[in-house]
Amino acid sequence: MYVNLDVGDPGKTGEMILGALRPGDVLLVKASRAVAAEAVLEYMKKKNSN
Amino acid sequence: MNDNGIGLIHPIDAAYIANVTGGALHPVSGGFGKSAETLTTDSRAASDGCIFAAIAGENFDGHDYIASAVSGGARIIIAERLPEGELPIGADVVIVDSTVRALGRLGADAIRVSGAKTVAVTGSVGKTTTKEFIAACLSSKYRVHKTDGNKNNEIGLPLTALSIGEGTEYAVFECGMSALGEIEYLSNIVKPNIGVITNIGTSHMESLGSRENIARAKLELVSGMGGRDGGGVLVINADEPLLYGVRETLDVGRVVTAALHNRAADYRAVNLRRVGNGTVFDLIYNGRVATNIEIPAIGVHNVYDALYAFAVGILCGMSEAEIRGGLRGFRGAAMRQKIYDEHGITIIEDCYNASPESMRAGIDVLISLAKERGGRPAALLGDMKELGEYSRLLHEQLGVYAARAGVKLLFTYGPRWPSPPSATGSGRKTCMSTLTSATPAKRAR
Repeated sequence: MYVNLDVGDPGKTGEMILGALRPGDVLLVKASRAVAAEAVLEYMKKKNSN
Repeated sequence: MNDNGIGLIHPIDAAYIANVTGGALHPVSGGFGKSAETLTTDSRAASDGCIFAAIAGENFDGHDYIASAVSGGARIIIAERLPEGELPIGADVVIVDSTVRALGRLGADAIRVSGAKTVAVTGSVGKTTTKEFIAACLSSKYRVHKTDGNKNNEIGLPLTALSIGEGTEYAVFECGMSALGEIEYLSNIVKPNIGVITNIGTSHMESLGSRENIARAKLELVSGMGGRDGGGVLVINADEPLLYGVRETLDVGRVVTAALHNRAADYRAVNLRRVGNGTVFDLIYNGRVATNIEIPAIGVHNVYDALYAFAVGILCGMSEAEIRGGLRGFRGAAMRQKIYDEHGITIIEDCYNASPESMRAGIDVLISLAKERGGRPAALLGDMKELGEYSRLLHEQLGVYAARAGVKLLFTYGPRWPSPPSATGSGRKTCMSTLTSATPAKRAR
C-alpha cells in the first residue's frame, strides 16, 4: 500500500500507520530533521503505551 | 547561534586578533590590552572577560547585541561596525571587513598553534558518520578533537578549530557546502593532511545543477592540501566514477581509494554480513586480508564510512588492532539510525538526513532487517529538499525503488511527494505495484 499523507496532523498520520502495521513488521522512519516524523513517532509510542 | 562560549587554546588580546585577522583596533577601544580565553558569537553566552564576535545573520544581527555582550562581561569585540550611539565602553574593539572571515582566520591560526594534524571530510552523504568513525578510530591511539555535531559551515568549522585543546594530536573536521567555492574556503582554513570525499550524490542539485558540478565542489577539498609536493593524502570513493575517474589529475600528494565494488581500489570491503545490530566484513588492502572487522551499525553506507576510517587509521600510523578497537567504539551521531522495538514493531529511526542516496540506503537496511525478522517492511518517508528541477523525478524514482525493493507499506508526506498515480478519493491510497507499473519515465511523456 502506498499512501501520500497530508502534512500537519501527527495524530491522523500515526493512527493510519498504526492501523496498517501489525506485530513483527519493521518500520523505517526517515526524514530530514523533520519535526513531523518525530511527532508521528511520539504519537505512536504514546498510543501504544496506553 | 548559541555556541555557549568556546575555550581557546591560548589567551589572545585585541592586538593579536587584529594582527591575525587583518582588522584594526577601533579608536573607542578601551585599550585594556587584556587577553581573553573564551569566545562566543551569542551575546547571551557572554561571560566575564570573553571575546564576542558579532555576526550579521539571516534572522539576527550580532551587531545589535554588542552592548548586551559587554554588559555580560565581554572585553573584546570583533565586529564589522559599531552601532551608532552605543559605544561599548569597557571593551577593546577590533573592526574587521567580515566577522565570519575573521573567525576563519582565527580558526586557521588556532590549528597552526595547536600543531595538530588535520583530517577533513566532505561528500554528499555520510560526512558526519564518517567523521565520527574516523574520530572513534583515531581516538584509540591519539588525542583527537572533532567537529561537534554537524557544525560544518563557514561559522561552525572555525568555531570547531578555535576550540582545539592543548595536546590535540589529530583534529577531524566536517566540511559542508551548498555552492561552489565553499569547500575551497573551508579547506584553506583546515589545510588537511588527509582529506576524505565520501561520495557524490544529488543533494544541492538546486544550487549546483548537476552531479558533475557537485563533484567539482567536493573536489575543492584538495585546494588546501598543499599541491602534489605538499604530502597531503586524499581518500576517495572508488565506486564513484566522478571521483575515481579524475584521481590522476588531482593536485594533491597522493590519492587513496576505497570501495566495495571496484576491484582496483586500495581498500575494498567484501563479505558483508549482518550480526545483530551491527555489520561484519572482510577487508582487502595493501596486499593482505583483514577478516571479521566489526562495526556497530547496519547498512552498506556505514561500511563505506568505516572503510574510509580504516584507511585514515593506516595513514596515521595505527595498527590493525588499534583500528579495529576504534571502529568497535563508534557511536553514531544524534538522530541517526536508532533501531528499537516498540510493542512488537521494529522501528528504524533516522530523522537527520533525507537525500535520495541516504533514503535508498535506509530502504536497503529496512529490507535486510525485515527479512531477518520475518516481518513486513514499511516506511514513513519525509520530503527531500534542495533537489531543484529534479525534485519530482527523484521522489518518483525513490517510490519505484521502494516498491521494487519490496517495501509493502509506504507512507510519504510533504508537498514534494507525488500523489499515487492511480489513486482516487480521500486518503490517496494505492497499491505498491502501481508505483512500478507507472514508472517516472512513462509518466514524463
